[in-house]
Amino acid sequence: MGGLVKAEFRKIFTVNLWWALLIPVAVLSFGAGWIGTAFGSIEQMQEAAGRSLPTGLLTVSMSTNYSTIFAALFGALAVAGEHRHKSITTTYLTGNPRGAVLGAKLIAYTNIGLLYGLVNVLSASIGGLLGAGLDGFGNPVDWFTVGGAGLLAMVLWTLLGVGFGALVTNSIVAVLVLVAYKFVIEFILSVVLLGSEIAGFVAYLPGAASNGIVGNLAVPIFISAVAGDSEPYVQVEAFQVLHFFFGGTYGHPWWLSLLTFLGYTAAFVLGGWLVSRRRDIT
Amino acid sequence: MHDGSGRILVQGLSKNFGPIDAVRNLHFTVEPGSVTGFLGPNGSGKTTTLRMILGLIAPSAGVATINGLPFAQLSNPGTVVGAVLEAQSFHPGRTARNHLRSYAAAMDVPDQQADQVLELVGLGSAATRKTGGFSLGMRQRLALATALLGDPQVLVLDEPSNGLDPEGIAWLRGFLKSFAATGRTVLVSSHLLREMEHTVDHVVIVSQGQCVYNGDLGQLRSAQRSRVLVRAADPGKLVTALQHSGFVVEHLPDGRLAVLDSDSRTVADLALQAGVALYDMQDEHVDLEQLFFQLTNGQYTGGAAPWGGPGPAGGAPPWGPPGGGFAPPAPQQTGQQPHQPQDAALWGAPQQGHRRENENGDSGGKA
Ligand SMILES: Nc1ncnc2c1ncn2[C@@H]1O[C@H](COP(=O)(O)OP(=O)(O)O)[C@@H](O)[C@H]1O
Ligand SMILES: [Mg+2]
Repeated sequence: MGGLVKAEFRKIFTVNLWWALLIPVAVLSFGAGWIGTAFGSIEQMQEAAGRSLPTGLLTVSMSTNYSTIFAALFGALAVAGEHRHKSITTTYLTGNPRGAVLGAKLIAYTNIGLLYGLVNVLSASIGGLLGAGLDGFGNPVDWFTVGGAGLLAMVLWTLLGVGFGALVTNSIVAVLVLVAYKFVIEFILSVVLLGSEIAGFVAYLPGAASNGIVGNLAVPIFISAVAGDSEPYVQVEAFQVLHFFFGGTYGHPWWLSLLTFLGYTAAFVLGGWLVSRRRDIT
Repeated sequence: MHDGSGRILVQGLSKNFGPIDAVRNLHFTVEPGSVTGFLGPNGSGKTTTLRMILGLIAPSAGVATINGLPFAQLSNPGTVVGAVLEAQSFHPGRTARNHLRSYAAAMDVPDQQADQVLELVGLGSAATRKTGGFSLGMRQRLALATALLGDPQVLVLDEPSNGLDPEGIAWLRGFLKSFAATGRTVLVSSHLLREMEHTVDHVVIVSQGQCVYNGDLGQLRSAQRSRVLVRAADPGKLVTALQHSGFVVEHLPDGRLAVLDSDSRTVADLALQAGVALYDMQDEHVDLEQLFFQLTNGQYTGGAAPWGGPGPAGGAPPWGPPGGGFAPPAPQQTGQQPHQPQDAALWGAPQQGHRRENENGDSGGKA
């Protein structure tokens, strides 16, 4: 098994994809951190509050919500890319059983997910430092909490991608479906659901759940920093506006989002494993 | 643990893709120490069979074992069996050496092995080049290098000479023979018997997913026959004279006679003695390739002449088993591979004739 994991690391680092998808993560996260902290309404809020606000935490949340797609795409190509380049035959000929190959990929890609997560949190934070200065991060414990949640979200998206890629094997389909889901399909689903009786289910959709891992931590932390003692009197609308921009759902605990998204990840990994176990490689 | 025999055992293997029966109830054994050819025209099920042996395709029925175990139960399979398959490729952006090192890690073999196999297949100078720029022949060589990376005991190759230049083909033949000569196992498929003729010792010939011949190549070769086509002024008289001397003669639709197992000189001498004038005489040989063609076209069941002659033969099918002088000699008369007891019924029903008694084929068993 150690050999199979090492093989996966070698496969990852001997082609360009890992950094080609990491660059947009770094750039987007940095941009979100920098521009986001200079966001007009927040600045006004800051003036209104009369003290510095941890806007950096919000932008880490936002950058995570967008950059996870790159980790998901990278993960999806773990198996689907091997089908595309027809190296899956060699991989299965040198790794037995197929579940061990998938396991090795999951271990290796967890590490890449961590790398993506670190790059995201650090880039967003550096951007935040430029935009808002050290004051923008508030309490260091809060920063570590939000940053840690960002890592977790990134790793889970990577693993979900691995499972999804193993399930569909067609790399183009895998990439298109992930991107379309993330930016179009879930949006339509939530609009439809919000107008229905089960509007509460929206928070349990994959995208909302993953955004909630970070957003449901960052937004309440931010609000309590803004409002201080008067937090109980903050209007729900303020929360809702912030959640809309920076992820999460009002009143939804972050750990529930985590459990929900963990469920999706497990489902795709399990599905990918079951289907690839007996799939004919022709 | 596997039994280390190096034997590939195929028992009742079948595969259907929806309505297509790609492979139908195949039985054969591949023994170590020699090169076994797996022959059949395009679409006859070779690739499907090899992929089933290698655990890449799940059989619809039957089992295949390597060293006594199904592929899925081999631990570190790359060190037991190496394979060069069609539709097996590399990431175009990865260098040859990095490709090999990735799989060296998977097999837990030292990294130096990657450079050794690259040298072995003549790709040493291309080690740091990305495989996307490789020619077909270079890809085949790299695929072979990958197969050899784990120093396996068994080698399975699917049409490996596709894309190789003549020099490369010659090299590959020599390589496979010497690999087998070290007591290891080679199973190599091809759609051309001629290509394999000088490389393989044993052949399994399939047609439409079914086995039509399984046996020694020498034995198949000894089934080669010659005949003389002759146009005589008085055919009747010549036939009498020939039959008197023990020759089997057939009438061809164009009026010529076909004298089986003879040569033009003998026929000319006999015609002279009989006082029959000859207008035209021609020696014909069936070569292995024709035999192969015939086997894999289902013609062995009778009917059309194997000679490419004019239309369906008028008389009895010249290749019919009972009377015609063209049936191959009984297996007992020819040099047998010691480990291949069999009833190589070349002209018999395709399937049943090849089920071998499992006297020694099973020693490895499914322990
Ligand atoms: N994945 C597949 N789906 C459907 N039919 C297939 C598939 N693979 C092979 N076949 C069919 O099975 C038969 C045998 O194919 P194959 O094993 O590739 O033959 P060969 O290697 O001897 O040319 C052919 O009729 C082919 O069309
Ligand atoms: Mg083929």
